[in-house]
Amino acid sequence: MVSDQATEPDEKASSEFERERVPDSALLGQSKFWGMYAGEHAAGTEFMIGPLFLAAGASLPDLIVGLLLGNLLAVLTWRYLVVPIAMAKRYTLYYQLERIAGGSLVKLYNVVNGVLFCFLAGAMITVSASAVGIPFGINYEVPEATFGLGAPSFSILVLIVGAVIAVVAAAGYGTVARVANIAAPWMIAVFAACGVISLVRMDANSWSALTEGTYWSDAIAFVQEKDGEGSFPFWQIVVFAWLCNGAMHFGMADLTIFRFAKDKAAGWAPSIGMFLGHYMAWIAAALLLAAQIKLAQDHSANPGALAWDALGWTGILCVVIAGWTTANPTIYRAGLAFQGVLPKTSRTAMTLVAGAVATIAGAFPNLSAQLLGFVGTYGTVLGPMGAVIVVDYYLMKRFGLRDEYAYNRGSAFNVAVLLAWLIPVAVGLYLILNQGVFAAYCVVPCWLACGGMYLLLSKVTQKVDSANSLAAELN
Amino acid sequence: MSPIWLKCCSWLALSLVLLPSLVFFGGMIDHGLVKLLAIAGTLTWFPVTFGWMGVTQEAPREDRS
Repeated sequence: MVSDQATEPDEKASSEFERERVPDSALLGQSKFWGMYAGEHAAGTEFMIGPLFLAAGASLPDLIVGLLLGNLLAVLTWRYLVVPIAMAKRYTLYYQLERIAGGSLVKLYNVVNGVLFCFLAGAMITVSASAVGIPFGINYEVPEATFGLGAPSFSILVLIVGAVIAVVAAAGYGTVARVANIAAPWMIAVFAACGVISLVRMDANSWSALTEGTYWSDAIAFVQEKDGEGSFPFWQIVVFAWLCNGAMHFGMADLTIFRFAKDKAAGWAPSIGMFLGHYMAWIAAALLLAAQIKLAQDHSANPGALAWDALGWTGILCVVIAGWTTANPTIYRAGLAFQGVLPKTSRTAMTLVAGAVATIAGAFPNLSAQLLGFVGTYGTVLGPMGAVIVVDYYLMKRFGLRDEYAYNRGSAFNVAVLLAWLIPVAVGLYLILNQGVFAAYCVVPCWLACGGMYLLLSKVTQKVDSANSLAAELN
Repeated sequence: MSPIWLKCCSWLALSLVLLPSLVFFGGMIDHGLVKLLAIAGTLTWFPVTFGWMGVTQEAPREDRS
């Protein structure tokens, strides 16, 4: 439906309204949004995230209720935070940010976004390689060290899969996009089938066995016996489910999508992605690992092997397609972000650079095994920019300040935004990386701090700017 | 074939992926047959769905997990 980069090629810009309000004639009905969110949130990473809940020690009742509550909060955030601003302004995130923060600062944001995209694509490449390796007997093993390589054969496979994905992305992804959209309902069916089959394989095919839940508690006991005690309590699950897409809702990335909304009710569309992809699919993927533990006494979360055991070739195809169709546009968008910073380079070259970075990241299996932490960090870094947009829209005029300051002043760099973004994010990253705080916990505090600081710093910088302008006029 | 028939074939193919697992849950078929029907449904789903849906696709997917 839309592209969310302000750095799209010029020939596309006019048709995608990247630097103008979306006109009424281009608004879209609700069904487009429901279809898009259903597809986008049934991605290859679901095969990684689901088993990680089990491996981290989340209890089944906590997971069922916690994911329900967290996903509900995510949907409400999209509906009541993103949609009102998207429909009032009807600009892309990047153009809206440019009007507030200035073009140079948006370039910096693009680089950060591009690098994070590369790591996400890297996890996808790892997931795809894990499935491609199954027919060839190539094992996916997670080493102890974060930057430890897997088996040499697996590393070579990652390089091959990454190279193919990067080359396809560099050539443009029209066909991949088509395959991805067609695959979405099929992938959801495969996830559901995997969950049901796993239950049967664990003899949990009666009401009493299902409610007793020993298949789950036994699996957790096995993991904890091997890896030591761990816990993933209820509120941690809620916060993770709520904020794993923090960059999209709190971070306002989906302004780009909802600017096309004809009706506010389109804001409920993420619910289909949340409750199919981040609820049903995560639980189904976790059940795959529980079944593997029960049947093979093996707690390694190898997405390819898990899907193969449950559904054979269909499972393998699902992991490969889910990984490929999501890694591909992610690399493409990362390439566009890099090209935005170096406009003289070609998009193809930058996409290949992004693909190379993603492939290198994909060669370290432990990075994809730390996906729970990574998506929280992603939200912590990018989410706070959304607070700048919210404060600019709702509060600036009320406090007697000028909104969309960079646009109104003709400035390329709004220092108030830069400091309001970097300071809370630096503190957040310190807490996550040095103090071991669960990454998703930092999203909302950083968001609030960024919004507050932006308001305070704007009061100072706009006052200084006004004084300087007055002095210049007098001289 | 007209799109309505192609759509029916798509639904049938999708059913082959999901429904056998439910029948397996009921204990009426074995795991091997579930896998066989799932791959049959998969191999039908893509060409048939592409036949009626492919021309209308616009949006790229993005990894949001």
